[in-house]
Amino acid sequence: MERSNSEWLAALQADGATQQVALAELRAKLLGAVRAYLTKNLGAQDCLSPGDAGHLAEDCAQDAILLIQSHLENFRGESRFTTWAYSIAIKVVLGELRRRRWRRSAIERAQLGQTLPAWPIEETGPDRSLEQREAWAMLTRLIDAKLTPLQRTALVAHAFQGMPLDELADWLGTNRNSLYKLIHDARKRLKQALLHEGVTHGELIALFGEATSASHVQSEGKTSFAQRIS
Amino acid sequence: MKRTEFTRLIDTVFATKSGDEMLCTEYFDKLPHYVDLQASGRDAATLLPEIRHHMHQCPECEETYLALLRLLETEKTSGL
Repeated sequence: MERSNSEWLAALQADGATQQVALAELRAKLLGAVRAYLTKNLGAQDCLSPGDAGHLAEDCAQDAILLIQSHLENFRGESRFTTWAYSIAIKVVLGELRRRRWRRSAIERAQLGQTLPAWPIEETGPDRSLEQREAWAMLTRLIDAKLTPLQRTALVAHAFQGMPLDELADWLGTNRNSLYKLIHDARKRLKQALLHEGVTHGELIALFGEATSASHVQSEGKTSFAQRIS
Repeated sequence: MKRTEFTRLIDTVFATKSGDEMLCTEYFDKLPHYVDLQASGRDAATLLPEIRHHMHQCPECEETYLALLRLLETEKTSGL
């Protein structure tokens, strides 16, 4: 029978055998959760070597147990205790997978946070239309001109080079919340600059969205970005 | 960057609020409540719009939400 929230808290804060039984039960649940995630998410497997998933699940479940024990006072009882515990285990495993993926990435470290790509989209697809190239040129110009150097570094490293937020926060010597605020401020400046240029959300999505093809965009006969903002 | 990631970035730029937004730590504190509400059939996005907005703006935080939600569904249907 499932323990109630208060029963979980009481058992985990107890001494001796009561606590050990609760910890073993919780560990089994978290291990099952992490294994289920790794099994069902093929995307996780690109950064795991054969046989590695088992070790990773064990390590993440153990790390989550330690975090839960040291943060029990943070559990406010708004959710089921197990949902709260699962959220910590999921955060641990996702963080580890992001770290591994990032360390295997081919981003030149000297270019980290510095260089915007010549073209932002990696996928092959329809040829880039004149309007798409003009829009990307405008976006790079606004990113370079309107963001502070630190905002630009954070946006380039995270959004365009794929650096995970926790890794980026460590690299910049800050924390996750301050980094989110920094990127929020960068987005806010970019939004204001785009609106000032007369560029709308719908316009950019129509240009770069999945259904867009170069011929379609050009056939609409719109005024080009270069013509409109020059 | 995939095309969907680029258009998501454009989405987040235009969805940016002029004032403060919920930060990652507060989001993570409240996420279990949000997911429990959703798993029980409640309209969590309407009840807790700041959390919904944060996960839209922060793909990493959204990934945690999606994984947690799927986990609860798995637990409910087949156990862990």
